[in-house]
Amino acid sequence: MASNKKVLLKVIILGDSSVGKTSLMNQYVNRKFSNQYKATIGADFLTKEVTIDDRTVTMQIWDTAGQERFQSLGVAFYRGADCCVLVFDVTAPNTFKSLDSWRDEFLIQAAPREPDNFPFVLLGNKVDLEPRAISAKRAQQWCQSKNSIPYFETSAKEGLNVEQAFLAIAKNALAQQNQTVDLYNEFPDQIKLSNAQRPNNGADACGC
Amino acid sequence: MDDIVGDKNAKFKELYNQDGVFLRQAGEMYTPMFGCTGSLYLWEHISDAESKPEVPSRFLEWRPQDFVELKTALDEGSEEWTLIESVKKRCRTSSGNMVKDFLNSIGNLNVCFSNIKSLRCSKHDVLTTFYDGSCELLASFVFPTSESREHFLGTIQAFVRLQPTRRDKSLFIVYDAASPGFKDLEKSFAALDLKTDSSFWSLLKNIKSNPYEKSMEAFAKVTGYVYNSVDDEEHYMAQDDLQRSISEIGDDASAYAVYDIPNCLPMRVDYPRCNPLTREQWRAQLNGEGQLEDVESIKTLIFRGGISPDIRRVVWKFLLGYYPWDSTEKERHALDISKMESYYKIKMQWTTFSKEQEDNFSDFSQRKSLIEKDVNRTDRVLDFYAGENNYNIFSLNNILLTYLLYNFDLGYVQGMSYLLSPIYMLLRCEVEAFWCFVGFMKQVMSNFDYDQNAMKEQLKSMYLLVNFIDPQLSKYFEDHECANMYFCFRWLLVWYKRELQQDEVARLWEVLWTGYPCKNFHLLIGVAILEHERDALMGDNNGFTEILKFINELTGKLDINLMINHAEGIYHQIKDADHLTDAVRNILGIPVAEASGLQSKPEDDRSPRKGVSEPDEIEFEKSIYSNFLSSSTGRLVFLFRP
Repeated sequence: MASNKKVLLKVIILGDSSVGKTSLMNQYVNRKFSNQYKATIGADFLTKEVTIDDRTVTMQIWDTAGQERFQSLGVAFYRGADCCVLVFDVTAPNTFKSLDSWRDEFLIQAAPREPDNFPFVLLGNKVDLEPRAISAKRAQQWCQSKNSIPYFETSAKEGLNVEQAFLAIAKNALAQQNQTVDLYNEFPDQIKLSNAQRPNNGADACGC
Repeated sequence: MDDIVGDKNAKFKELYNQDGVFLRQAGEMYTPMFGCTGSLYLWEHISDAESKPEVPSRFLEWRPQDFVELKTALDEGSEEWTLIESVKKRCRTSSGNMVKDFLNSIGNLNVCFSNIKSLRCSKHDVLTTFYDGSCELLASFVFPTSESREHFLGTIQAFVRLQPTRRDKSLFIVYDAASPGFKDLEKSFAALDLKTDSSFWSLLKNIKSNPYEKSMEAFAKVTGYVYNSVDDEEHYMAQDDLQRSISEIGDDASAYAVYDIPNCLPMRVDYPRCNPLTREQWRAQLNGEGQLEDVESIKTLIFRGGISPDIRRVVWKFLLGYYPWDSTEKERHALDISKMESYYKIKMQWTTFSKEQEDNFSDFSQRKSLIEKDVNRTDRVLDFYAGENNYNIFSLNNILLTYLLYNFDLGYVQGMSYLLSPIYMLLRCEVEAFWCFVGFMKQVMSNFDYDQNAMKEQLKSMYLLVNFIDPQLSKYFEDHECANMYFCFRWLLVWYKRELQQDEVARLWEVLWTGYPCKNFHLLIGVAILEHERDALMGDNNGFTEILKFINELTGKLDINLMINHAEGIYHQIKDADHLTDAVRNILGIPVAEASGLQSKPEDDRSPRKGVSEPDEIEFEKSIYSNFLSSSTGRLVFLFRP
């Protein structure tokens, strides 16, 4: 369906201040890392073209402010999101504890059609740093409890796992978008489905 | 005339005479004359020794010329249209003979001028209605031209004052010489600017040719009512909603666009920037005690040109409240000492925390860690803050931690480090920078409130200002889901710090800290930028995403002196605009007296309306509105006379 149409995937990165949201986005889009990123005020985004299953899609990755009080303005930025990336710092336990509230707040503000099936991806960032406060097991347990959210351990500084994580994010976002489009195009899809199921016996099976 | 005068010998002087005045409405007894055209006179009694006390000093007289049936659509242009509806039906059934007979028996329409307690005349048309103060209509006339009505209003102002009511700018309370406080009302009617265009007559013509659509026209009347009753803030939204709803009715409905007064801004005047305040100028203002002689002129110089870098260090301490403007050299010396002492007292509170204490004080330790993370990424590209183990970063950290203890309720919020950085970089002293930062925070503290309401309010204000200055641009924002103005968030949170170089920030902030020329001048800086970039913003059918990107990428590209210059020009345009609204006036804190044009008095203003014998304005307005508004539901209802 509409495979030639240009696809735009909107991805929102959320998480506490200083967990590496801007760094992850810049590492993925520009393959660069800097210790000198400024704190994000308001919101910004970068775009990147990626190929998924032979389809070229544009990812629009939104970077937001990490302090909780700025979330109330989030609704303007969250609208139309296809995937939400939650980030925590594996060396800072508080950033892991906040994940629930980031997820809940996103669902409230973005109000996706099917909150239970909306794709999230969790990134445990700064794995290059010691000491580690949150184990992979603990993070995965949290993911399991949230309808099996995919989990990646990344280092924006080293570029570790960043590409893989964002590919998964793109796939999830694309799946979400297709599903949404299906919902909107329920009627034509049903016809397509019935045509495919009908055995081709050489005659025009359609009586109308 | 005889009826009202009651003395056939009384002599009268003609003050005003105008032919071709329609009688729209008057007391019941004049019903057959409604819709007739006639001559309107204003008579003044020439008193002499024989004058009887009951002879009124002035009265209006209307003499019918001929009977002209007003077309059904004459109701255009006044809030009384619903009442007219029934009157017109009667009008159509009456014959010419009836009128003639009636005139013979009743005579001319007379209104004793002292009975007129208020009158309604809107800018939209030439309809003028007189009330007796208890919401009874005395008479309602349609003048042939706006000039003739202006002449009339000019004439009556020789002996009465007209004061617009607060909620309805087209309704004026009439104060005569007997009213208490009459003399306080200096406002002349010319200043009220009741100019009309000829749209009334062209509109009337339109309606005649489209009687079928008459009911549609009723919506336009509702529109007019809504416009006069809603807050200015909601005005634009209401207008858009109405415009949309009308456009949805169909193509033909385009003839029924929402009519509004064409609002023209005064010409933009260039206020060239001046040279910065120099050391010599500053010193010249100090007297023997080291006290500033003329603070206002110093502030004006700073507003006009900023401050020379070599004197900035001293002057910022005044601008940010570290030193009072009227302090002497000796007092400042004492302040230096006391401020140092109190800074270190507060600082000691956190420097003496043990590790254990900190671990048990998570509210503190979490904020401490946030400060540490933020200062380590604040202006690190500047040499002053660059490199590992930079002492200046350490100082930023100390100041923000001390501020955290100084104002623990607010705590530390992202953005604060950017407000501190230029201050510390200039002063290079923890104590001075701390207290100056405290002074700055007093001005912008609400930006960091937990509920972010102050930020939302500013974004809303920004939209209203854009709407006032460049309605096309605000309409574009509205149509492209950008009316929330969130793309200006960063500008307002840290006063353009992230968009400018450090020396540009210093220049902008010192200008803004003067508080000149008005409240919230920082919003006008934003309006100036948006207006400057308007073509790019509206190009390529940009939506919220594209506009946000565009705005974020303006960083490092702004000419801040030019923007200050434009913002000042915009301020004067707004201040001098005839159609200045209360909402816009409140945003910029423009006092009523300073602005020109048609306006109401602020709540606290002393005005003669409080006089005992005066009609209670609020009650009076209420009584008029109650004819049209169902007060319990707030919905519009139309009352027809039986």
